[in-house]
Amino acid sequence: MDLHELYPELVLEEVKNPQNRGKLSNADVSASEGVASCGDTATVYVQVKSGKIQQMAWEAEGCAISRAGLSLLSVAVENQPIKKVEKWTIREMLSLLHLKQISPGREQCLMLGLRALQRALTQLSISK
Amino acid sequence: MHNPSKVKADFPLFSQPENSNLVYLDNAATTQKPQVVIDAIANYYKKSNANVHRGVHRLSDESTKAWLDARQTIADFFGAKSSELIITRNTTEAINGVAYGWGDYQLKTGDVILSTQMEHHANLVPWQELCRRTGAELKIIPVLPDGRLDSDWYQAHLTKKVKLVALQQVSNALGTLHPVNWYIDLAQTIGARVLIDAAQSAPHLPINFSKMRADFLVFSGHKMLGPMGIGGLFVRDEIIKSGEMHPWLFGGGMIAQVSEVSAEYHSDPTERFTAGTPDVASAVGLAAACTYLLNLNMRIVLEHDQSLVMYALGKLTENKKITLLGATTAAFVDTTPVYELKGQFPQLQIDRVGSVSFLYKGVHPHDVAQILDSEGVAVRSGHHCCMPLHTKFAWPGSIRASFSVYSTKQDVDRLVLALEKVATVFG
Repeated sequence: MDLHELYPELVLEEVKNPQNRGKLSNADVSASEGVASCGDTATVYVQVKSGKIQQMAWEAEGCAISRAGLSLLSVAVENQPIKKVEKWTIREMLSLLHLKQISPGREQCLMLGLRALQRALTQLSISK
Repeated sequence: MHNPSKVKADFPLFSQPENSNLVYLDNAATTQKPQVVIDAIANYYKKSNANVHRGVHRLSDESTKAWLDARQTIADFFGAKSSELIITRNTTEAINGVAYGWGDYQLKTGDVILSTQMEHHANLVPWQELCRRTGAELKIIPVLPDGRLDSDWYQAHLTKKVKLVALQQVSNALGTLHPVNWYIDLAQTIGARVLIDAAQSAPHLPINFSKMRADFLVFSGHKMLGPMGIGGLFVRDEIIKSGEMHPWLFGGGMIAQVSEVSAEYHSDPTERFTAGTPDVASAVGLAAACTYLLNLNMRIVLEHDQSLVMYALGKLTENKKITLLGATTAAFVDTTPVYELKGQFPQLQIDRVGSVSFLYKGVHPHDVAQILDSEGVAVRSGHHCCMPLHTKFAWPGSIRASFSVYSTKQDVDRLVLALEKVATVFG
């Protein structure tokens, strides 16, 4: 695979200057997710109001793809309805990272953040 | 003199046009297959395929002979008797077999199993489960920062309660070659059984099961030039004969007599531990791989491996962004158990076999592996099924380059060159 296709400028920029990285002290819910095959982990913190995500923050031990994914995801979900984000799939993640495709071996890296976020949102709906 | 480039020509994968640029350094995960192995499998299906034992026709006899001959060849490779060999799908299944067929019958509350902090999950999780079933306790021999085991801890914790020691011969994550005979000798003084995981050693060095005195030895065919889906478990004759080890898979083939509500099992261990139709083609393929390796001569294979390990360690040290993991210098000190390895394997330059692993400063192992792949270099990144080891040293994962009989110093040079590209992407 062409390297530029996997690591477009956008991805490399997010790795250097990650957005919303860290804990969120007033989070309504948080959840962790891991990639079994490599041991990467991510925790997301989410603040919600009136059915919308107000803010998302994250911490992760992972590769460039998973960290860029978390960073861009955290920006993209601001003010988005929970119901909408719950339905996001790999399509949205590819688009967020400006990727045309991803190899089977890296799919889990790409999806780490969204899986953690959706887990958090599920916990929120159960606890209500 | 071993000529890896000439050996490489025996492996058709490397001559495919799409692989012309490939540097394959993921051999600890699985090796490529020589033409003789591919031919052996194809010829079996073309000429001799029939179910074993259950027919009296010519083809069934041929197939049965192919199966028994293959078993003998595999056993010979490991210096064992054919009657001691139980064919499994792989190392993982072999270890589970010992847990179910031996552990469930022999262990009870208060007993102890010793394993190590650097085992592959295959030699750890089955023991966790066995302890859950039997009430036995799993204790873990710690790994030291140099990638060797804490032999003092082992000696201190080898009490009468220990019933099983489950230990790798070579680490799949760090390449460490352990002085297993020293561990076996000590375990036997207290009557504990010992299982040796030879998945990563069998491809690189001569093994003699009868001399080793291990009670169980397990391996995978696909890591030693054979096909996927076949591996094995050697169990010392007396453990099978005394009934200490029981079959753990039941059904056709393994029985002597069956009534509606009970069954007697076959007296021949070869049969008793082979429930259902065996994978004859893979056994034939694995036997061809064993013969191929024996023709190369395992002592020369080890010598070749050592030249690559030392060369790679030396070259990788030159890149200041790289931190090598595990043993980087030999330590055959005569006051340590490692010393005995030198007498056993005079070809050794270091107690490390098959692979080198490392971290790249500031870049995640997956990203390093991806960049290497873009340069045609295939390595493995991640925790290599050794999460406790990675957790202990807080490694996010590691990058492993592993060798086989066809690996060359030029392959290592290509790896070293490709690593320079990492800085240009994540500089």
